[in-house]
Amino acid sequence: MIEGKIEFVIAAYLITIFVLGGLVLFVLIDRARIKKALKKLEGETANELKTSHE
Amino acid sequence: MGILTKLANPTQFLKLSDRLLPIFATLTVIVGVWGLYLALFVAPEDYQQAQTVRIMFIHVPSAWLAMFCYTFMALSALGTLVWKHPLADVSAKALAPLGATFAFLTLVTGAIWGKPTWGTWWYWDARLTSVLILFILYLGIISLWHVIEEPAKAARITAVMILVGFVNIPIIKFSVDWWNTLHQGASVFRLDGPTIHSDILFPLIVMAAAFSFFLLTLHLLAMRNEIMRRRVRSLQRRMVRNSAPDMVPQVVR
Repeated sequence: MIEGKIEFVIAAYLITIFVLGGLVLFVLIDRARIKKALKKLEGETANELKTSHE
Repeated sequence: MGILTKLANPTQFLKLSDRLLPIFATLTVIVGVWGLYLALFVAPEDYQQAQTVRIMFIHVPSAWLAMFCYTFMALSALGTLVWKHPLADVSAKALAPLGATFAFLTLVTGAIWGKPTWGTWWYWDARLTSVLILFILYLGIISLWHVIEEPAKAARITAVMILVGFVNIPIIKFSVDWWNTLHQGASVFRLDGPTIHSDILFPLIVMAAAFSFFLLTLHLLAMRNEIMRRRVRSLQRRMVRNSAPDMVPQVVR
């Protein structure tokens, strides 16, 4: 019969929360990075079009 | 098939995912909190495993989703190779890191559960080894996408690798029946019904639902990221064609 062993449960849940939280952060940081690059490129393309019209 | 054809247009997909994301994110939080409450405070202790049985509520959903992600990736690979659906490889590419994370969690929580119940963190048993192979497969697929420069070629080669690696999924599922393993046999998905008591089965199902909503939310987010990343690449190519290379920012990978 295993006594309590609650420390194993706490470790498993904490690791899961940290790993899944890290995954969410990774996806959100990736999103912010791409959005920034997209915004910059769209602005530059618009400028380029404006210049070529002029 | 109609919805799949409609979603072939990335703009349509972005519109639909815009509506679905808040719903899935809210469901993840609500069902997740409910599942944690049931798993940690309501589910009874096991008469043999005592408190450590609670590790099951995160270990088992992680394992199910690690296998589900790979199965969905295999379907997406078919979509790439057979139907040439434009979002099929976007879906597979977005799923790979998610599946790898769930496979990693399965291995880690399994080891933590194994120590007090089996007396060891790891054993080269068929179930444990096949899940480790699944994790390594995920890492291989992610690496392939990164090393092949041309997106269409990367999509084709990774699709073939995903389909070859799919042979591992039935091996994981049936390893406990085919070989004499330290890992216990199936106790939920059985022809004669689950062998777990409903007091433990219900929290397990709620946690599995929470994990599934979490996966759906992140999969949609990651797919949106990949679509935007491709838009960035096509704008970069257009700028290079217009001979303004000095304006091109660093390639987003």
